[in-house]
Amino acid sequence: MRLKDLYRTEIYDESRGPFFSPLVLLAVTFVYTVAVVSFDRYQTFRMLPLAAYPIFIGSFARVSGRDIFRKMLTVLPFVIFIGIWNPFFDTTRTEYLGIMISMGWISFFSLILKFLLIVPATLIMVAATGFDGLCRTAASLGLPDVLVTQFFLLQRYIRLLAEETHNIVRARVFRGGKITVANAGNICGPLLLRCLSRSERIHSALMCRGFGGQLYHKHRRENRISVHDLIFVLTWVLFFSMVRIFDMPVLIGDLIVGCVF
Amino acid sequence: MHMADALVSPAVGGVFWVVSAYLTAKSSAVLKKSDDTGKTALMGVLAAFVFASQMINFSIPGTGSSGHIGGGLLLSIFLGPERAFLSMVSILAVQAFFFADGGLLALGCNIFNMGFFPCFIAYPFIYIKLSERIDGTKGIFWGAVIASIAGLIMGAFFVVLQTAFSGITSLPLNMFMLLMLLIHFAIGAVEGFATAMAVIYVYSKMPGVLTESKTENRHKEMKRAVAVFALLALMTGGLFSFYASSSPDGLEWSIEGVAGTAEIEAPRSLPHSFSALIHERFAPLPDYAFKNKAASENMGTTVSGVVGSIITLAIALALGMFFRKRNGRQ
Repeated sequence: MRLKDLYRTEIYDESRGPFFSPLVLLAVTFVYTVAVVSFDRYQTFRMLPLAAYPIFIGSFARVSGRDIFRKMLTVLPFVIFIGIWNPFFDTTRTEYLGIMISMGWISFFSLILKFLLIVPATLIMVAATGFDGLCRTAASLGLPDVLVTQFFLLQRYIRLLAEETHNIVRARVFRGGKITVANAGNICGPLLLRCLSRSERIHSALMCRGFGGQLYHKHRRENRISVHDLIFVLTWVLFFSMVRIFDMPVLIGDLIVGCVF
Repeated sequence: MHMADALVSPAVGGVFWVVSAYLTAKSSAVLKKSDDTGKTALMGVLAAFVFASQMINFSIPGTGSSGHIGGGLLLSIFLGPERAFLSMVSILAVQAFFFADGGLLALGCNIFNMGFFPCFIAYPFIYIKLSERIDGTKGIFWGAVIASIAGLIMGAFFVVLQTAFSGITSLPLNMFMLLMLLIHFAIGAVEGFATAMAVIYVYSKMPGVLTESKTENRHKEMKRAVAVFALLALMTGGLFSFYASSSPDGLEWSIEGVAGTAEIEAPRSLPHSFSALIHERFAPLPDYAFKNKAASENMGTTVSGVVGSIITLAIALALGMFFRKRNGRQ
């Protein structure tokens, strides 16, 4: 896990042009995720047209594909761990793409495809809305104040503590010491103590400024949805349901194959 | 590694979203009533600490792998269950959204597996009981180790349950369960040990910090909510284990449930008749390539599928590039 990634996503914020409201993006991404996941485990190419959504918003938000790819690689092992057993236990054979293959491989392929479709969409959505936008949207949707404040604090202090941790670990390694289970307590402990005293300082500072449990101001603007937003949502939901109901690749392919031959 | 979106079905994801949202709302309501803003800063910083401490990967002797400090239990020890639960929610959300570890739909599952069990079950029923019974650092040590193992195992049990109900894996249930529980037992032991060491260190320097959260009065409503969910979890677990042992050949039932023939055939016939209609109207030489329908229908569908997929993707990419260019010009 690379902590600087947390801040990297915010970089996209500055360069993006006029964009859709975070609320709209969150809603469409959620519907998209449900649409992808709702395909059954032996379906593969049928869900491919859904890739249009991440590609579309990705081009709008101008997110670097390499960053997304790197993040995906780090979490892929767990999905592979769960899915790789399918070929061994689901050995019913079937014809697929003209070759005989076991159903297990198809379901494994389907699982990986789902992963490849969903993860970029979520990451792009976050990159396009930014941490603040996401938190404010969540707050306007009724997320409790305690939790919203918690999100803001967490985001602010991760970097600080990450740097501190990095220094401690580096100091240890430079002296030739290894970090083992036995001395992990002696490394985490002081850091924990520093955190406790830091939180006290933060608390007093907050109290001095009249902190009443809320770190941000609510804007009315956040919940307003324009006609553009509405069209955006409706178009995508229509597209997702089309892909879900009809076998789009086969439909389009039939049309083309029929025309060519 | 957390549950990914690709591993849950909409129904499973939805149910756990509702459960986690309810627990989050209840915890926030309890905190609002207690009106203690003093711990707000502590919550934020400690959640950040859990993040940062995961950078301290220590080597586990003899295995070549590495471990890190456990989150839920450590937070509970310093913050009490409700605050720890909310901190876990924030940590898991950040991990899901920024590190792709988890996902939008699977967030509910992850909050339940990694927030509910350590904060509301392992901490009050195992850690507190043990650390009260055994005095001094020994109590903290055994409490942390056992609570950490128990919390992780309960979470892993639910990961198995959620994956199985989503119909994702063909791995026989017993094996999947055994594999997951064994792995998480080992992880729990290591995490518990590291957590115990860190807590003991703080305890030796500032003993007052730990007793503070223990004496705080728990809200009645919260207790009821937790009891209901613990009971529900126990019941589903029990029923599931019973079911699993009675059908040793694995997840056949869930495959039937997910890939029920009636459900798949119905939509398939619609596009086919639709494409037939398009063929008749627009295609210059309908049915030319695949005249021998009975033999090559599969092949025809496959070719169409591949061609169609490529075209759809190409259109999407072209649109994307068009917008990217237009966006860049502005």
